[in-house]
Amino acid sequence: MDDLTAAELITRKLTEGLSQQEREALDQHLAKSSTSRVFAQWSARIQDVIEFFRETDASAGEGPGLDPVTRLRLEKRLLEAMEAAGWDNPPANSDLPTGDLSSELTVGRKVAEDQPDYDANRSMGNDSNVKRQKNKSQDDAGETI
Amino acid sequence: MSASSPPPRPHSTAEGLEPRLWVERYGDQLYNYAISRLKSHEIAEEAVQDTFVTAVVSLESFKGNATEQTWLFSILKRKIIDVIRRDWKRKGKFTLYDEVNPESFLFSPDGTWRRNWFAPADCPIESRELWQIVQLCLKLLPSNQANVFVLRVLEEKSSAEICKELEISPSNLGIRLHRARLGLARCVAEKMKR
Repeated sequence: MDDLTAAELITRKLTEGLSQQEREALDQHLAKSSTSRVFAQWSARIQDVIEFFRETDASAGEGPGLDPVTRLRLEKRLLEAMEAAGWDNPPANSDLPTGDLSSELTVGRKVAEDQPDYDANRSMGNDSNVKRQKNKSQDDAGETI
Repeated sequence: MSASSPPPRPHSTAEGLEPRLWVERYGDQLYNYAISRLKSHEIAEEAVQDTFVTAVVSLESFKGNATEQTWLFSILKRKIIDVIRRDWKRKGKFTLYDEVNPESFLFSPDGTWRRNWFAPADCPIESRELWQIVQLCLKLLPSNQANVFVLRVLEEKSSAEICKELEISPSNLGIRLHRARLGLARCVAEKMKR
């Protein structure tokens, strides 16, 4: 076995695993080749750190976070999306019984429609960007929870 | 309200969702997650923005079985896969042979290492610092190697899923993963020598 073949086995071992025969051949090669051995050690170390930090909490907790300009831009875009989706029109009577979120939104829209300054385009989420995205978005979010 | 009515529930916290607070509460976390997997700040920001917009227009789909945070992360993960798929299709005309192959500079034609490229693997470095270097090196890999690496190793998608999403063969995926790992180890070891 040459170093190139050994490197292929080292990387494959981390993703798919090796057969018993491949493992033995690799071990024999590593005993002889110090560079292959160091490469195997680095690969394993990188894999270990990825396995720890790829978890959602760990990935989310490490990093620069949003810079102030990006934060403002996201807040603005979020508010626009909320407005377009009718979230700026909460039900006037929050004591109304609510079975689930969809019926609550329907109630909210009904209450809004009764207001003199009701803007159908705005309240029904007819903003073109939001509407365009809605079908796809429900695909993205629908199956997750 | 009659005596038999259910207790009142404020609209702003229906099903535990408070969209107005999402950027403040989860913006940093979502962004950190996205930037650890995507090539640039702009692409990561776009993925987070799309996540918020998708969540807002899909509020009906939130059943309250998971936390708001878990729900947003599940949407973001799909966005990241979408970004990678789009990027892949844009560059689809490139073949495996168009990509940088780290084997060509790491190995001699006879299959032996050209030299010892690597710093000792037991050199002391904190995991957090190593993770930062790995992320940096991941961004330096050719996109088509980084993309499969992110999907397979960071997002833990199965080989079958990736082959289907990206329309590549298992052997093609294996070669790209191998090259990505070689390039990554080479880059990390290089940074460690400095």
